Amino acid sequence: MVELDEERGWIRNSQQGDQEAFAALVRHHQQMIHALTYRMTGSPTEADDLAQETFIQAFLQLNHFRGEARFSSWLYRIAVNLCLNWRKRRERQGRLQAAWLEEQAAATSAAPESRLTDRIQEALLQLKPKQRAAVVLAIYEGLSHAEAARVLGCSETTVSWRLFAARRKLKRLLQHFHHAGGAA
Amino acid sequence: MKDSELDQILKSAPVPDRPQAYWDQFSARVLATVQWLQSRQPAEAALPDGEPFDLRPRLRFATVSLALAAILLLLGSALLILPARRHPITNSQLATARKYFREIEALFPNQVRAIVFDRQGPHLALAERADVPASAPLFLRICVDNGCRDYLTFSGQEIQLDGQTLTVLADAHGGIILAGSQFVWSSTARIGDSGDLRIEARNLGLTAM
Repeated sequence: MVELDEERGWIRNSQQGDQEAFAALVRHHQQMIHALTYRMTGSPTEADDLAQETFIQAFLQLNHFRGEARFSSWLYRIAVNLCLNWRKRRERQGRLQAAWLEEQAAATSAAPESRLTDRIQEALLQLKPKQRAAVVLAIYEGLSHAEAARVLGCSETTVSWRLFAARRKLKRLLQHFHHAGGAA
Repeated sequence: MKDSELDQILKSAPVPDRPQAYWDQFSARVLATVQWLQSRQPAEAALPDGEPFDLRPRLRFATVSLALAAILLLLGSALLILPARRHPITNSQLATARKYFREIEALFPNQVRAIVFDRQGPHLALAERADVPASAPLFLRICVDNGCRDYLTFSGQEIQLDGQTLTVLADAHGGIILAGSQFVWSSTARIGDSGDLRIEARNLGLTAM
């Protein structure tokens, strides 16, 4: 609760132009947003850029934040929208990257944990972007279907369907690791 | 495979680690860009009321571009049209270059390796760390048959030109030397054959920052 109160204070002060308060908000959420943009893009460099864009857009739009949703959800929405638009611009590159990652994964002689990480990211990249967004929000960020639906601007049913379809595909793509002992 | 088992596998993949310095500087970078935007376009910063982050097509990348590339877009609008057609460098172009260089350097102190302007627009080459040695900035214009490129850079930095890497050097007398694998060019003496390249170089007249 103390943390939420503190966050509300940062938001209020940021809306009044206190840039140090906004910096505190950035520091508080930066790793979460970087993780999301990385899962969505599979590229650390793109993730960095998109994370920065997320916070810049958040600052520009801060006066529109009325506190009806959690600030983190509001940031998620900005970040996901940026990532989805990024995907459209980079669709072709994404396909190439996925193909490259697949080849890398097949050829790699890296440590098992590293290979698993690559395969997982490759599998995520093979999902449709909106399915991937649902996975990132619901599985990685732990949002409920209702919260994810608000972030994504769709119905809970749509989120559930996207998750179902995504899980089905991910299970197929990652079945080898399950049989080989999974994440253990 | 159960859903919970899949979730466990997915969560076992970590995101890449970044050094603590990255996190320490991240908010500063965001704020620097925000401050710059505010100083430039205070009235345009706010978007219209309404659903704040609806995926309205016309807004999709407008704000994004504004946020990250505004500096470069403005630089482009100011300088991009200049180099290709107006040879040689004029004093007003140098004045414009000085002004924008100061703003970029203020945003990324000791990180700017070069700012390049070509027909595709401006490109900012930044060092990962703020370790670019302080020295007086130089303004270069290199023209070939299909157009010109302008560079804002420093002595000791390398620039790329059509696949060639050129090292930029300033001598103690204010002369500027470009050293490539195929030629060496000097602003004060004809010491090599630069082929079809037309090169001009000026010191921006700013002290080391």
